[in-house]
Amino acid sequence: MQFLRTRTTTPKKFKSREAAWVEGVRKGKETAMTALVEAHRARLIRTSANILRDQNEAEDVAQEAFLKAFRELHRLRDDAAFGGFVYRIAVRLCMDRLRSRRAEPAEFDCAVAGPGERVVNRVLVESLLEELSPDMRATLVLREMEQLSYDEIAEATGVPVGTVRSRLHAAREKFRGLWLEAQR
Amino acid sequence: MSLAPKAHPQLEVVENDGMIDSLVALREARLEASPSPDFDLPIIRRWRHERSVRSPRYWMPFLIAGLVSASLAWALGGAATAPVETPDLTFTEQGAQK
Repeated sequence: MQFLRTRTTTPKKFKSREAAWVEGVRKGKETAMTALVEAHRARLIRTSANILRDQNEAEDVAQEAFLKAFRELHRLRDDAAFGGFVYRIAVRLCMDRLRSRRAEPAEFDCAVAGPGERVVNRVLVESLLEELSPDMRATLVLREMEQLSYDEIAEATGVPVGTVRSRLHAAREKFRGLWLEAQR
Repeated sequence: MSLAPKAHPQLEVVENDGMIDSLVALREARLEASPSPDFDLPIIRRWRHERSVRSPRYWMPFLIAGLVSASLAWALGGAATAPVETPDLTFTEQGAQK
């Protein structure tokens, strides 16, 4: 079973191109703005979808994250780090949505037809994730699904690494308990 | 010195308490969501609107209209409160004595 590993190092060529795009956005160039969106939208949507378990809401969050990032470019210290900047915004928007969301069954995209067992598994996981607090849920998804490191999760969620560790431990334990309960 | 291989302290048999199974299930439920074809459009539209609102060409007409209205109000208000000249009707001492 292979999982996509999040890139922790970005090629220098891409970094300088990204910095050029950010500079272009500051000057009002639409082509630079669309280039940044194109470069980062897939990752933002995938992560948001895995946290929120809703494709439509994930796209809403991703769009909101981009607009917020463009409005707050003055806060970006390193132009080449726009990817991490907008990713952090998206993760925190996801957590805000989870906090304000009423307890409704999440809709998810089943367009990719797989074996019947896989769909059942996905439905079960969705319902178990709903039982976790937003902080625990986001941490667990970022670690287990997005394969981020502890440092990356800390940066994305805006908490110290120690807090990430304790949240992850608590989230895994709770998820395991719920999983075992569901198997009975 | 003994050449017998020592058991590596980290290589322990872990009891299957459901942790691995649950995490495997979690990873299998990973979504591969991809952007819809018109994902970029709302961002572009909104970005254009926000930029135009910030630009002087957007708010200058409002500023000019405001200045003109204020000037007119000042001019009309000034005309309404201007003092009206009235003839001096005070009696002099000489007039009263006559």
